[in-house]
Amino acid sequence: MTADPAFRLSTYLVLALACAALGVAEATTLPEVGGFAVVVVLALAVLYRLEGRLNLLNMAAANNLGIGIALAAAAWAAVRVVREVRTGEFALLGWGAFGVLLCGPLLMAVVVAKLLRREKDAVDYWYLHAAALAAAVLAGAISRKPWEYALIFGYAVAATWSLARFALVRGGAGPARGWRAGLASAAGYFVVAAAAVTPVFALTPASPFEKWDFGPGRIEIGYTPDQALDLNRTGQVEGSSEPAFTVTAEQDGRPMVDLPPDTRWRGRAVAQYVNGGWRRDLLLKLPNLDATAKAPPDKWSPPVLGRGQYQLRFSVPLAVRGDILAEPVVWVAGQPPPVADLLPAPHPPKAWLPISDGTFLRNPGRPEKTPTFEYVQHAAPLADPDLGVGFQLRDPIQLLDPVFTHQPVNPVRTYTRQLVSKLMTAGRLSAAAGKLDLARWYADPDHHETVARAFSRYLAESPEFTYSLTLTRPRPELDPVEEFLEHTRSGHCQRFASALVLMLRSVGIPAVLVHGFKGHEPLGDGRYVVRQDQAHVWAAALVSRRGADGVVTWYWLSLDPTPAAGGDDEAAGGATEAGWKWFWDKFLDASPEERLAAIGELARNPVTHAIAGGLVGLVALGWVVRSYAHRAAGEAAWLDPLLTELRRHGFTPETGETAREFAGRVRTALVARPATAAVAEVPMQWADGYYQERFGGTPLAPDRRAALDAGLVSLRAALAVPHPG
Amino acid sequence: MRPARPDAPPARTFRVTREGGYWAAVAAGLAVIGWTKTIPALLLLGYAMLAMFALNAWLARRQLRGLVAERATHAPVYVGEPVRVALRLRNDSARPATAGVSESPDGLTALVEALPPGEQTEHGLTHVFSARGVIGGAAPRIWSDFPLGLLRAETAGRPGGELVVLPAVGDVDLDGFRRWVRKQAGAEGRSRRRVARSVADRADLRGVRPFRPGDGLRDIHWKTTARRGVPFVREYDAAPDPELLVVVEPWQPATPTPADEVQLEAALSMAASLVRAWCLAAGTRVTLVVAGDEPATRASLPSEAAARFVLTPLATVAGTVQPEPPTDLGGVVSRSARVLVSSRPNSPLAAALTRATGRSFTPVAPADAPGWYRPPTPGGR
Repeated sequence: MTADPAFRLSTYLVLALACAALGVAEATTLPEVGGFAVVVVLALAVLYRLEGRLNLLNMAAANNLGIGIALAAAAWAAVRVVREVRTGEFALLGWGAFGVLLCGPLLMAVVVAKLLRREKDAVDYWYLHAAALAAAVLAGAISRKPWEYALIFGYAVAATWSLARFALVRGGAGPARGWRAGLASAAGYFVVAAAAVTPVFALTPASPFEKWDFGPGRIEIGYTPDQALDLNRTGQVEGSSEPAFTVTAEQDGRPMVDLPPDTRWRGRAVAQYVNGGWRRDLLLKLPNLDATAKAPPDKWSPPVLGRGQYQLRFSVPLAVRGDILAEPVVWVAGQPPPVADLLPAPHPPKAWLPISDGTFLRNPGRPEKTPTFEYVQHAAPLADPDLGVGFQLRDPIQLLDPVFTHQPVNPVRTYTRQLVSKLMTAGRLSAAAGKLDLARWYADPDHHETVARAFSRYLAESPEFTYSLTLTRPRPELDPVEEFLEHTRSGHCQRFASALVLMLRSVGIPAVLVHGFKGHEPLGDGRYVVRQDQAHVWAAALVSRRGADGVVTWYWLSLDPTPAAGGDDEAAGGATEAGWKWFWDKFLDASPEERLAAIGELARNPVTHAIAGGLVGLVALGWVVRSYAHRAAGEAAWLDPLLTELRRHGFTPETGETAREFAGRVRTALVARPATAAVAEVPMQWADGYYQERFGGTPLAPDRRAALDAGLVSLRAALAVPHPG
Repeated sequence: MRPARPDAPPARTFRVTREGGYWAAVAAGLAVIGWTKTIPALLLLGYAMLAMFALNAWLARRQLRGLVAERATHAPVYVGEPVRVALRLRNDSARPATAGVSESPDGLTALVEALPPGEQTEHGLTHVFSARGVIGGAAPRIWSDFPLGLLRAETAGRPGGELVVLPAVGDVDLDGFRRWVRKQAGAEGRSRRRVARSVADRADLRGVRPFRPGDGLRDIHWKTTARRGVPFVREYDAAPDPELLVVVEPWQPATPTPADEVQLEAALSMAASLVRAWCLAAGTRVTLVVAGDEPATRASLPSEAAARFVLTPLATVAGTVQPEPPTDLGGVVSRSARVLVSSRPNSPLAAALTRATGRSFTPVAPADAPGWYRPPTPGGR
């Protein structure tokens, strides 16, 4: 059965692609499966080369090998299960899905064991295809990346090719003429089938049942004010391009179109780090300020914030449930709050309530039901936007809630001390700033800002830390922040910001984690939209500056330790990632309405027009070439008896010569010979008949056809007479 | 060979193969799981598999357009004689076709990949038949499950091309047969000389030659022997054999036993062996007459092909309880050696024939085990 080279190659290709697809899909969750897939693919390549030269195993030996591999796979699965029981690494996935994932290596092992069997009949090949299909299905259930889908697509094409060859081999057809026989047509069949099912897929209604997330943990980027931030989660971080809220910026009554692109939109701050996650604080007790903004007695008017003052009008959907404000929140003691609700007419704007800790509280209740929160924030540029507005503390700093300096992860403390030394050695931290209190290993409060900025800069700029949306936990027994700092050094903004907060607290700098958004997308005329995938997390440290008069001014210093976009894998993905994300969100994992909208969007896109035009052009070109080939083949077939006879005697059509030209040339030659002069017209009669049937659209009458055949017999006889020349 | 516009396609049938059934079930399962659990890849894969199923049906049906299948004609063969049974498949369409041709569900089958337009292919296998009869005749089936083998479209080819399988033939000692006929005729009261002239005419004396072992004493030329002192015999020009008339009586009792069936087949083999041996070795006409419910008469000049032609009625003859003597045998009776081959010893049909024609018929049955005949061995010719 393996005598057919195309069938052999296609079968190995199917198995290799299925195993590769499964390995790549599972590698994010279970990295060792990816390695095992590499081994399997290499083994398949070796087997392909050696099959026929290698004495493969008999049935009993192959079965024993399969049992051995299965036991090894079971042992590995048992180790994984024990580890999962201890660490709960895949708690989000669930035991059912986790158990199915553990079957991946077993499927790959079955493929190799089955291939090693010496005697393989049709049933064995069906089993191999079934195993490959199972692997591809599992891969398909997990996959969400373009290259993973590309592997599955490649598997499907190869499977079509292999099954087509298999049908021929089973039916008893002769072996293929080459190792690529049938590949192009099989690919064509699959593409046609895929194109045919696309509209059906697009119109398939959404399932009312619960979605089964078979793959690794998928962490949705988005603003989740009601949820804790769990750093234990692993998997792929993905964002939704759904709009979170919109902002309209105005300055001096005109649309403000130059809002800084890296504007941070502050949401909720959290301070409690417990078991690798940030717990939502019901009430965050910030330190009280000596002076705050003053609530207006009745009608609110914006505060005067100085040069360059502008206003931001927010429209935040109720679902966001957050008091989103642009950083820095600029306020002036004794002046009205800079934020006020915009109520439907005829209600005037209503100022938010200034709290003693310097924040502002939205007025409870709304006079009328509206789908969005509408409010306005007045702001002004500051010399150091990260530093925000300075303030004096009403209470001594010693009375600060200990939650702001609680640091439960000792290894992070050790790491931080070593880092301080390292920064001092590198000259990035002065000796004074790096000097730690020997009792508690705290930094000097006068240098908190310097230390905090140095830590943040270190995380953001050090080449050993990389930004990644693929979250792994190779050492799940460690605290996530410790693991991040000491081992993985890779992750998304939550990991960077969490690490910075714990590092700051390690040296006694009060810090909190701030959850919000960063960046925006201009819509024109001063309007901006902020999307869910622009959700961001950063740190805020309470630092102080001592003035020349000795007065200490405190600041909430915003610190963003996440490496800037451009050096991370998200940016490396570039347009391909973005395009695939659009395709996934709008077509693959979407409702019929969204799919139709996406198709409509594609139909209006000039790039789509260009691609479609190119494809149509290619198809048309192919059709023309093929019709020419068919015509040539038809000509050869019609005139084949005559051409065969004439070729025997040295008459061959020249390149570009028409049938009639060739017949005329032959006629001239035949007339010159006495033996053939009488039949010199035969080639021209054939040419005339060909032209009549081919181009005239008139089939030859049977008697005319018989006359042509008779003429050919005469010509053959005449040409058989030896020619003296 | 010019591609011609194909005729209107004959009726086609569709059948889902076992693999196709599994395929459809798996595809539907994948689609259902993919939809209910919102797994796009599975839903797409299931849909694509179902689309491939439909594409298979369309392509398989398309392959049959313009295909013509027929059985290759073949001269009659004897039981036990190897013969190549072949099916021809011709593509009269304008595009290559991948299709198979089958003789019967369990018979010869062949699959051709991409048969070019206007071309023909022949597939066959060597077969040895173990029983006489007429094989085939029904139209071969043209089928295609291209490309994946999930569905099979079938249509009928052209009927015809039956293969006639003649009874098995044994070995016949023709000289012994001639002597036996002469002897049997003599026993019926005819003069020895007359029989000798009619069966083995030696009228044309060519000369004399030295005696060789095996020469008859009657042929010794005594004068020359006396003159030369060593035995000399007369040498004759070969006189033409008389023609041979073989009447076959396929007798069987009303409720035949297996032994009766064996006797009938043995009689038919004996008759076939006689006719064939005569056609191969003798130079005169042979006539075969089958008595019975479906009387048949065939005659031809001797040759291997003629033997097969003459024996064709024996391929289908069935046993009968009371075979009627054939009528209208014409002049062949008078110029032939007449033998009645019957499945029963001492057949009364010989006497009936003698009465009807006025000429004696020599009856013989396999049970007589004549010395000039060695029946075919089972499994061989």
